[in-house]
Parts: sequence; C-alpha cells; structure tokens
Amino acid sequence: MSAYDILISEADITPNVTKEVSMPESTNRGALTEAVYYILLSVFKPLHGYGIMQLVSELSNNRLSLGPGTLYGAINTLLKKEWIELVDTTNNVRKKEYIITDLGKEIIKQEITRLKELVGNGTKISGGDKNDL
Amino acid sequence: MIYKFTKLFADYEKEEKWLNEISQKGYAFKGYSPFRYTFEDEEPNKYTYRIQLLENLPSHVDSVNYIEFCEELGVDVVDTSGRWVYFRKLSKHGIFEIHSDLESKIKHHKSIRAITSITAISNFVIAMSNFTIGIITKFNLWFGLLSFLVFIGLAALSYKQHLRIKEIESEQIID
Repeated sequence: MSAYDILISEADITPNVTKEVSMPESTNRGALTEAVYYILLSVFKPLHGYGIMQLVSELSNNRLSLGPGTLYGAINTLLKKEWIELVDTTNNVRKKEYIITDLGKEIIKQEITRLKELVGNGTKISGGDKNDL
Repeated sequence: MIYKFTKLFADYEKEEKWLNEISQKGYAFKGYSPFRYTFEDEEPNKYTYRIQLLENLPSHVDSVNYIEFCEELGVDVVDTSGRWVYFRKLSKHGIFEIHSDLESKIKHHKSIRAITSITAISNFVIAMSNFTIGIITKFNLWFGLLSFLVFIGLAALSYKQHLRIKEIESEQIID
C-alpha cells in the first residue's frame, strides 16, 4: 500500500476518477455527452469531419448541430483516448476520415446498457407510455 | 462599394453581434486591421460571422489543421489578428456557432481571460519599472501612468471575463 492508496481510502474518493490511459477501462465511467455518443456512432463506417457533422445532425433530428470548435476538440479527444482512429488513406490524401476502434465500440456498448437502465427505471417509476420503448 | 468603420471592442461576443447586425443590413465583413473594419455591399444576412481565439498563431501547424478542418465544414476565414480569427459561414446553411457545447465554450473564454490577465500584468510590470528606475524622467512618469491605466482597464476586463465564465459554468450544472 502506497501513501497514495492510504490517502485515497481516508479521503473516501473513488480511485478510478481520473484514469485516462488506453488500458482496459473500468466500467464506472459515467455518462458520455450526446455529442460524443453520436460522433462515435457516426464513425462505425469511415467518415470525414463534414460527414460526421451532417450525420449527427440527422441522427438527432437536427437537435445537435456541432460547431467546428466543438467537433474538432471532440475528435481530437476521441483520437487521444483511442476510441476512434484515422483511416489509412492510401489513395486520397486530402480528406481525413475517422473510424471507431474496438475500444470505442466497447464504450458504446456500455453506454447503451447505461441508457437502457435509465429509460427502464424512468418508464417504470414515472409510468411512461409503454409504446415509447 | 467599400465601407470602413472605426471601432474598438473589448468583448468579442459584442464584436460578433455587431458584425452580424451589419451583415443583416446588407454589408459583408471583409477585413480587419486595428480599430478598422472593412465591409462590402452584399445581400442582407448572406453570411454569419464568428470570432475565435486560437491556442496558437494561425501559422502554427495545429491552427492550420483546425482551419483546414473548418473549411471542410464550410467555414471560411475572413481575416486574422494575432491569435484571433474571424470566421464566416453562409447563413442559408443554418445556425453557425463555433462552440456548440458548454465545455469548449468555457475553454475558449478561459483562454481569453488568460491572455487578458497576462497582458494586464505585463502592463503593471512596465508601469512599476517606469516609476521606480533610478533616473525618472517625465517620459517615464507619463509612460508609467499610461501603462498603469492600461493595466487597470485590462484587469477590469479580465474580471468581467471571469464573471462570464462563472455564468456559463452555472449553466453547466443544470445541463
């Protein structure tokens, strides 16, 4: 036990809060933002920046329109986290395309599980319309 | 026809608002130099304008990548000034915002607050050194006073930016 471990247990902080390396992650990550969730979904097939922006807008019924600052930052964060990667463009050097990684797919899987739990509890407790599911 | 306006803005959000108001009146923003905005005749509201402070100068590789990325999204550069970039996008393509999420918006405002604070402190240092060097001439006194006034102005501006960040952050909690 290092001094760090002692400090954490005394302070009652969950240790997995700031882990951002590309190792198998713990399941307690918390929510993805809508933008990140939809960007990940957009790149299950290779897609470039403009395509991602369009598809996210479509998927969200025009609710989410990603600004360039937001989208650029999100893509770079997702690249760093290795949830998406650049597609090897041997033919066309101009437009960079992105694709989801296996880690990214795992993240989506976990997120869907989390969302199902939320929707399930919500409809159960608030007695929502059964047809919504 | 070319139109030139002389204006000084302390708040980039107000500057954006002004550029877009002029655009509504039928003039497209064409270029910027200190205190000087140039416009040309254009159909009303053809473009929407946004201003962003980049993390680096436009010539830096990260900035070049970002600007290229923006161009793919139909966002063009009108002009730059230091790390500031003036963007435009055709209004008919819909709402144009650089930051559509609170996190990147806050990051942007924090960068702006940082550069304002640093410039403020530099002016303070210049003022103090002018007031305290061994031989104080009239020039030192006036220059020091001027620097000190700039420091006060920028410090106030920095505080205003700080309050704006707090305002945006409080929105985040609800989201």
